[in-house]
Amino acid sequence: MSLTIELSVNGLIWPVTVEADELLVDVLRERLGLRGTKKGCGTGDCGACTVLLDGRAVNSCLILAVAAEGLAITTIEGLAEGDDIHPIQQAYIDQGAVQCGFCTPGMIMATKGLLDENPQPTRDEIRTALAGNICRCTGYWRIVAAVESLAGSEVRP
Amino acid sequence: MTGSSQLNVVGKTAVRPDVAEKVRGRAVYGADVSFPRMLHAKVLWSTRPHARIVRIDADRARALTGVHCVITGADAPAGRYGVYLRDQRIFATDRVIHAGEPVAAVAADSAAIAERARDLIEVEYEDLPAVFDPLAAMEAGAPIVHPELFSYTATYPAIKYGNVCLYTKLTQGSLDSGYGAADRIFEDTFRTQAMHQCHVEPRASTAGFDFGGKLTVWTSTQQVSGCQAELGMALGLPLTRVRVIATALGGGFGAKLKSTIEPIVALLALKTRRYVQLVITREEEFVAGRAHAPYIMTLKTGVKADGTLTAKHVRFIADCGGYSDHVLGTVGLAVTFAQGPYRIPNAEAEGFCVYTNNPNFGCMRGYGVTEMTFATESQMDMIAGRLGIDPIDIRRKNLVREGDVILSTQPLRSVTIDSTMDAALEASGWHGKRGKLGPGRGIGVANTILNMGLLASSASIRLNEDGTVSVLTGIVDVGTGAQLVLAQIAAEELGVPLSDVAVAAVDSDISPWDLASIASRTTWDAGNAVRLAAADAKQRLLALAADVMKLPVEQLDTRQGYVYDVNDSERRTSFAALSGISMFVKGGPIMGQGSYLGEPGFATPVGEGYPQPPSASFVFGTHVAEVSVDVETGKVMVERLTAAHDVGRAVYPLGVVGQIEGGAVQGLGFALYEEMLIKDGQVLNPSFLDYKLPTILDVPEVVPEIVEIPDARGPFGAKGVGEPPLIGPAAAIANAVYDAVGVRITDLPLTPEKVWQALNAKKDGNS
Amino acid sequence: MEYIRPATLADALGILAEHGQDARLLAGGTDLVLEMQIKKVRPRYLIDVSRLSELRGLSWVLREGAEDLVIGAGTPVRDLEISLQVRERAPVLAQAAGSLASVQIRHRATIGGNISHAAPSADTAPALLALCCQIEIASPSGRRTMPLEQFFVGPGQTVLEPCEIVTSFRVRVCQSTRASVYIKHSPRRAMDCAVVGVAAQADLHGSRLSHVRISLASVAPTPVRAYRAEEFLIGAGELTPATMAEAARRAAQDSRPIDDIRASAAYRRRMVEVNTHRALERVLQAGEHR
Repeated sequence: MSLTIELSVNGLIWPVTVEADELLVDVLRERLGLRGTKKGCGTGDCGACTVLLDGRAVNSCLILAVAAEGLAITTIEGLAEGDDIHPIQQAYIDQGAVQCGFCTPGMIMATKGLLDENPQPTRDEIRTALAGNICRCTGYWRIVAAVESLAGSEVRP
Repeated sequence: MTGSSQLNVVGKTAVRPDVAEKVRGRAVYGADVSFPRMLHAKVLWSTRPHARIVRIDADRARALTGVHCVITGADAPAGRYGVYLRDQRIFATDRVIHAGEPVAAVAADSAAIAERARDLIEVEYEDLPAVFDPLAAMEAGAPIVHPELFSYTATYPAIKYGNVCLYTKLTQGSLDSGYGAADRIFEDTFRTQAMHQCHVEPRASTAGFDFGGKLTVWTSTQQVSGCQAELGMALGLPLTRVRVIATALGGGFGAKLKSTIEPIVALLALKTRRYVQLVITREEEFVAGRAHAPYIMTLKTGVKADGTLTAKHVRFIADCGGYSDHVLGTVGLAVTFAQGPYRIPNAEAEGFCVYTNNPNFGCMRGYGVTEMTFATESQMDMIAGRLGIDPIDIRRKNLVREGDVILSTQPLRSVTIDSTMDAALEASGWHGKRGKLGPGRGIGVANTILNMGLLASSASIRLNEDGTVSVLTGIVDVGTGAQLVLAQIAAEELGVPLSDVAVAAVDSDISPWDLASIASRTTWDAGNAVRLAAADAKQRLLALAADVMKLPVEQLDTRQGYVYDVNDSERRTSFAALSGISMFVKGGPIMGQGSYLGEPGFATPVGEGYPQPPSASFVFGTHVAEVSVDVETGKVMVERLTAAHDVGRAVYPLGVVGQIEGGAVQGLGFALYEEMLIKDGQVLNPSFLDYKLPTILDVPEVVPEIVEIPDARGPFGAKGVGEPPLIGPAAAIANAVYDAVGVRITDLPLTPEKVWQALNAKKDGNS
Repeated sequence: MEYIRPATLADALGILAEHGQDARLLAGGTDLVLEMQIKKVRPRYLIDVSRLSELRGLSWVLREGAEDLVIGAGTPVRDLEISLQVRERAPVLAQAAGSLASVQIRHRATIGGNISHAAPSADTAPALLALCCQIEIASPSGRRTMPLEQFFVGPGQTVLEPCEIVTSFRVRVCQSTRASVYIKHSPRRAMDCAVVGVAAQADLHGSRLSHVRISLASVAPTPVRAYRAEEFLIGAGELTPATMAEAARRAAQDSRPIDDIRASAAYRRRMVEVNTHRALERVLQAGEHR
């Protein structure tokens, strides 16, 4: 079944015709050309596809595009315009939290979801919030350092 | 030898050039490539581990609207290709020999249609007797996986028989006299599991065949030159008609080497004359990938009562599954380190690479030495315990020294193991903790040794019109920051600001040959090639400048993008000016070439077994793990992992930390969580739900210790560090568990249930 | 496949009345969308109930001097995890909710979905059972309620009819439910299905016990109560080292685990005992700190 829906992505409304069973991650990537959101597993086990839905981090590989109609979707592309850079992105760069970079968009979106809800998380809260994002390169500690640097707390050396 | 105080770029803080795109989600990975009217592919993989293909019926698949092409073995070139042994074909033809072997492929307008079509292909299999255990496969009467084994071309002398596609043996001294001199002889067997590399980016390739007959492939790969070569071989094309372009790589760890899915997508592109993209799903990565093989190792070690090692024999058996792939090479490398970083003058190692009908295995970071080290370092502690000697003392007593010759016949160079032991023991607080941690808690150590430098790299350097510098290399930055490291080396050697240097992405049409981004070799091999190229360019620059500035060339040097008079630094000419002169007035554009092959020939004796290439140097490391064991549940919690690694000189220090921390967590996974469960040739846990990768909540405190003892043969003294961090943790953790609760587990991973069973057995044994 | 997003519960029931046999309910989707990918199932009708406000939320209802917490079936598990009230007054439920997969999953997965999917390993089930949960189900012809124990039939199977929808869960919350805990035993600290899950709650006066619930995940075809353990403790009337140890042994007997790729039955049985003992110790401690 084809449906024409309106998706609100990064503050813009995108009218798009989708099949009822199309996944949000595929519609974002293939229809809207927003390829920053990545597919790592398709089963909600790696977090590479994390976007914000009404401000909450979710796995876009487990959401039907039609079910996301009318909700505010934020992808990695929505974090910074033009030459600007979002503080989370800068922190990841500064702390060496990016190696191959494939998990990075999802990790950053999960970070944004956390900090928007809880601007000064403890280390335990940071790790709980990012437990659904698998990184195979960094061993995670540089990522923890990046988020702590934003949380106004003591940064792990 | 330049002292570190005189370095301007190497070793200094710098920002990687690729991260700005990556944090914005703009880096183009394999699945992000897109072309107009691009078709999408799906592969039909064998569901049977060993079977005759009776019939393939693709009529219904071809009839589906939107399907452009369905191909099978009948449509592919018949020739075999492979990494060390040419045993592979693009598709199975008359027989499948492992579950997950490609049988057919579809190209369609969308991935959804391709998948529907794939599911409509009917394959009738007739099961054949299968073998799933390498020991059983080595016995007479076992089903033979490759009956034509003797007809395959190999890069090594033909020591192969039955299901054994490689038998290699290295000998040093006399085992008999070594055992004769021993007071005790201990034989122990260790097993390690099939582990998946679990790069978060699944493999993805896009191919296009133009009407001039040229194939271009955009692919997620660690090895552009090798992929190009293998595509040429598999498809029968000259390399001038094969172009491989590396997309940004979302992790490889050994899974993305030579070619895996590229020949399939290339064939589809040839048949359809359209761009075709194949993206592998996570389940397919487990079922039809190139996971790291399982190994069985038996170590028989002779030792004197005072702990001096006198003899060691290692039997090292790899189950390579249906095809030999890289597993064969892991056997060849691992046996050269059978002695570990210890002086054992009488030693012998026998390596076997064995076919079974298990899935096609490949290699992972560590390349067999990871497993060998788990065995060696576990046994060192076991021997220490049996003799009543401290585990540190027994290691120190037997450590290798500079110039010691190991089984490969190579003399060891740049031996720094004493220093890494010092650093790790100090940073971990070993002496204050060992024996003092309380019930259920323990601390354990493991040493690592690895080769540094493997085969060749080349690079060229181009001085641009504006005085900036472009570096061409064939080495893919797999995410470690290699692009930055190579830029730093070039900048340092040439005497330009780092910001004036750019390292190009890898494209086989343009980039010079490189072995691959593997084996911890990028900084050493590619770095040396870049340094040579930079030195070459600098020499040409200075020759021109001497002419232009009317000064003897010995009086000139470079700094910050200028050639200057060492006697009067105000007298100087910019690179831009010299470039202009070279391009438009005299001499021609300034370029530098660098070609580097660290050590010639072969390390191991040619004519027997596997000819292991020699390494230019060696790297060492020491890991200390602190654990607590919940004796009621068997759960092992690693509290702290201290990892001291000798890197010669850290070119990009933050990158070195990244390698140590990341590798340590992979080592943690290897030790405790990760295992591909395979039964009757089928993967039982092909998903991230039941193949358990460490999450951010599972990682212990990791303490990286960077030991810098420059090796003059490395670029500015630098050595690599890609693999050793993964190699250390498993034995350190197993040894710590023994220290904590007195159970010795010799097969990985140390799952809670396994530890619990061992604890029960120990209790029962004591009652 | 037709996708329908009814505006009200009544509308949803109307559609179910007509098409229930061929319909699936979509709430958070973390189970259903996955199933659609893996099994390639496409229901004829997909009824999206994720936005029905009638099915969401936590409300506290006074009843004879105690309070019930009524949880809308469409409430995301994350809301139970972070609700200060639930964390303080019924910690077993907040802990169970917080142990599920990842934050991303918990933002979408609903408690109604988790329970209706009826995996033997569902973490919220033992927690609800420990709180004497009544489940309410709506159908075109009316409503019915039952103790949650009766809802589960087998792995992935419930008493839910094709035209029915779970609307809410009513659990008992009082001073005593502060002494409650959920322990999830799994190899990793996140993302795993429980190898064994134990929920426990006791009404304590000091160490004297007047009411207790112990329920288990992953050790039977459905989430189960450890009845023999509970009976024993009621009879004993007190949480002591000896009674806790004995209750733990009986809880192990109450379990019927199987061997699978995650663990053997023998290991699971022993982990029921170990974790029941630990759960009771923590419940006792929580009771003492009131």
